[in-house]
Amino acid sequence: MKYRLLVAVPFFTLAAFWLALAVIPASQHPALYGSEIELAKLAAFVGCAAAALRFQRGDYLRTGWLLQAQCYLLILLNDVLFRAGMGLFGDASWAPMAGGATVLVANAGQLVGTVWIARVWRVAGFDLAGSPTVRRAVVAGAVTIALVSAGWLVVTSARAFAHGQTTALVDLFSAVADIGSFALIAPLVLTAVALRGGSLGWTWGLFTASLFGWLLFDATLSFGSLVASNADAVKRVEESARLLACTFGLVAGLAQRMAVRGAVTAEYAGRQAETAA
Amino acid sequence: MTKSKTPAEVVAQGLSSYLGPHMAKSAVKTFATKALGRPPEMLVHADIEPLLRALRPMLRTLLGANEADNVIAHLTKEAAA
Repeated sequence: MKYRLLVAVPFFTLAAFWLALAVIPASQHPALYGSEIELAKLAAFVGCAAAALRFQRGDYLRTGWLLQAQCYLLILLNDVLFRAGMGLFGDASWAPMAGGATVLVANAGQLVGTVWIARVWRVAGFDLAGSPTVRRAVVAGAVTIALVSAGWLVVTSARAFAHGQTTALVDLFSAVADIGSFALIAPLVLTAVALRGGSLGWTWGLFTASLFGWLLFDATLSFGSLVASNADAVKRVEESARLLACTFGLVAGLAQRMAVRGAVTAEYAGRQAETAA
Repeated sequence: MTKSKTPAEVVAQGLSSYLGPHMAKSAVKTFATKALGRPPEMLVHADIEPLLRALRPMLRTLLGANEADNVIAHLTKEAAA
């Protein structure tokens, strides 16, 4: 039941966001988007950090969750410090490069962290769900979707950077790291299926949903303006995808924390039962 | 009259809340064969402890060292009861 409530959180948040967009005048939407972006990143950071801190130093998954948490923290800091028009140093000439470097570190860490979490089945020594043919098909599908959703963004941001737009560096680093992360959706989905019915299955399912959110976000950045002429409509979809990605990141971290805490609870219940007997 | 659980079923049931029923059975089968050289249905009560020892690295990876040890301690007690 508690895991089903966690699944509802991102959709509830999204509904609240859309309600706010409907109630608040269009002229104030940019301010709403600004608050939504920073709160979403903060929420994802809290979830991933909560998961990491549930583990002890040396535990395998602690590293994976710490790397996810550092990504959200650094992209949040990038906005606060270096983002043009809103960061403390946003108007400085060196801000785009500093922001690019920050996002590079953030995304590189996030990619490694996703690899870390995605290969848990190999480290733990269990088999992924499905036959080898099904697994290969899922991997091929994930790689294709990754390239389609974020590949064009790599091309456009690389072109923009080549033409002197230093701010495009942030998008370039993000898109390259996202392609790597999206390709890892395959082992994450297969791990979630293998662990279905258990508390850990929720963690992998929700983490995969977070990556799907980022995938949708990149796809909107790549193709949004091609399929819709209304810039505000595109922005709504883009921010909805970001909100889902971040809130699923939050609940995935909380699910991981709850799943691990469940072990202690079971042990405690065992002691209690023994004492009662 | 109810049939009592086999040692493999006790361990698989204990792990299923974390790993899910499918993976719990699969893990018991894999590690019973690897560590003890026997299929789960051939395990006896004395095999529970070595089976849980064999499962420990997997549980450590998924739950962390401290929590994995708690689960193993809990299952050992449950099997002994």
